[in-house]
Amino acid sequence: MNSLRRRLLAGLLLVIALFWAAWFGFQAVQMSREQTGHWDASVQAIGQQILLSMPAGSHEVSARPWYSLPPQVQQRDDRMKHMAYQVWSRDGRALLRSTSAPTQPFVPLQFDRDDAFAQVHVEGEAWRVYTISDAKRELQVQMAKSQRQLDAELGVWLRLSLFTALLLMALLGAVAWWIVRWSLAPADAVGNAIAQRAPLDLQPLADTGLPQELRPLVDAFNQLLARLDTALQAERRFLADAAHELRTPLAALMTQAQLAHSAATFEENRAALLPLIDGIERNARLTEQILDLARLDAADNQARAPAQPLHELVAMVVHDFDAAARQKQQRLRLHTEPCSAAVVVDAIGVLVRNLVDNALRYSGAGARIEVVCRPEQSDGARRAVLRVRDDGPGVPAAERARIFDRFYRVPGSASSGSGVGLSLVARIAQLHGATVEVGEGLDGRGLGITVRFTPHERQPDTPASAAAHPSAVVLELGARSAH
Amino acid sequence: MQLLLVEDDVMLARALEQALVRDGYRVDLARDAPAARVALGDHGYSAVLLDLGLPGGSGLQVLKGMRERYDTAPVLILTARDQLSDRIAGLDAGADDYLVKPFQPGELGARLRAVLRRAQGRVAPVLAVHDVRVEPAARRVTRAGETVALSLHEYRTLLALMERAGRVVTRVQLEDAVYGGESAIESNTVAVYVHQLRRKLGERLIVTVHGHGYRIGAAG
Repeated sequence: MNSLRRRLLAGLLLVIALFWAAWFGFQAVQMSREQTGHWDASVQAIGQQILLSMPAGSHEVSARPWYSLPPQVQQRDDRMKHMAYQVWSRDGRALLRSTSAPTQPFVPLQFDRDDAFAQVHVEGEAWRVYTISDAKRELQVQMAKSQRQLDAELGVWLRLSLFTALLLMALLGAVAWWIVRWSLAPADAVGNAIAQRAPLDLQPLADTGLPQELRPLVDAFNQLLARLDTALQAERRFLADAAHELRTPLAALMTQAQLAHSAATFEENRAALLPLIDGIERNARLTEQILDLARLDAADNQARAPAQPLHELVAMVVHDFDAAARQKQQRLRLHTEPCSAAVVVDAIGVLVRNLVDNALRYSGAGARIEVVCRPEQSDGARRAVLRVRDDGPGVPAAERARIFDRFYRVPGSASSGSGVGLSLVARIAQLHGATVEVGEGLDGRGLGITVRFTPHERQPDTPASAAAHPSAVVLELGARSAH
Repeated sequence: MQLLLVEDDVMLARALEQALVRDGYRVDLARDAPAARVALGDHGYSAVLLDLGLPGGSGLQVLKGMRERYDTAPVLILTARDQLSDRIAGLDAGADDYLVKPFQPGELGARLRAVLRRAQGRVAPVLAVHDVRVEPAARRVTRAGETVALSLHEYRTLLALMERAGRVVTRVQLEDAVYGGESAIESNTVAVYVHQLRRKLGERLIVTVHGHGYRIGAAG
């Protein structure tokens, strides 16, 4: 049932109706008993009076004209039809009889008891009969009341009661409905207050004068608003930063383009175009990264990510950097062992790409960059670990914590970076519940970044041979036609 | 050599066609998926350059259709979709390589040459050695009749070995086949994939030839 009001009303009325029905049933039974008792008493009294009025030594007096009541009285007091009596002598002769009484005794004549009540069926009618015998057991009066009459009277009472009760119930229902509406009005008020807000109004709802029951709901709502507000502020800040970051290099590009345009010679023109092409590539990269960041914030579906062969994703992305590394005579080394993690494929692609790109970009010509992806034991569990280390200039220990801030660039480093790459890495790691650690790179120099993913149930067995396989040695010596 | 270029962007298609013709290829153009299917039905091509975002059906469906018909022509996907999951999906569907737009002009030529080089001698619809069976059309590998699940790189490694069954394949050649190009990266990944294949398909399937590389099947 979807309406609180209807629920409340239905519940209340149902319970009231049930209780009332039980009470009414009880009353009806009581009433029936009482009425019977009441009639029994009167029938008893009348029967005894009749007995006492009988002259002694009476004879059969059946065949004689009857008196009748005046017509108006007969109409008014119509109960006579339903009462009858017989007076019997010991030897079975009917001494006296009322008009409506049958000729046969109501109850078979027995003179052993003083008086008694009985229910009988005579000529298709149900009677309640009171028999009383005289002291000398010469006479018996049988006083009968039609059961139908009793039932009819009870019926009248029942109908009247029922009707009144239903009327009252209807009234009760209406009043209850109104009370329910009135009670739940504060919920309506809160609903209206929310509905009337301006689109991005994130001010908390007023909680003065709120009923107790609504307070937790409104509090939770206000907390949600606060979270949204924080997120919105972060988004606005990000937009402002991103706009600034995009605009600055574009200004420089424009200058370059104008230089190229106004160049006197073809050679000058070509020369001016080179940094322009470079700058465009950088801007394209920055735009791509900003889009990646925006996409990330929008999609939070890590919770349902199935397990992926992380080592293969890493291998795929690392191999994309082959040409770039070769250009700067950098030596890229990749070592993997089968490991899986519950990650979102595209997000991990972005993470690995930015880690490797960052290492290549800041390491300088001829540097060594090493990428490792394998399961490692840490904090009591086997986790997939991704580690990128270089032997470039690195980052001073004091700055290391800040390199993951958006648009942060290490002072004095090559300005070809955007400052966004590592913030992407941090964000993606965070989304996956993975930890990121910054430290030294290779041979005590450079930068090393380690990402540890949350444990996954089954890490594949590390190949026992991976470290000491004969072919590993052979790989170094084996024919390599690439160089 | 006859190439099929499937690309709906007119300007890009024309530019690519010019570059390819300059390199000495003959190029057929298809603007959408139905046209591509018709062209593939009529001709055999040395290679197919396939854009994914096509009107009238996705390029991926064209590729899947090709493989289902046992058309083993090498396919080079050209697409603006740069997400890793798209790339994996494309390679899993049977593409030989995956290039993200915009790409350097020289890059297409280089990758195309590499793909053509690797595709020589690829004819058989089913490859089988011992109890291992590979059906490239369905991208299915079975061992003694039971399907074995292989990751993308494991599959590509196995395929490269199977296509040269009986001959030694060097680590460099395997890297070329798996990653789509010879690289200068020192990596142990080929050893990892071979190890995984041995684990899944039996220790004796792949033989290490010390000093040279790996081989499937008896020396032929």
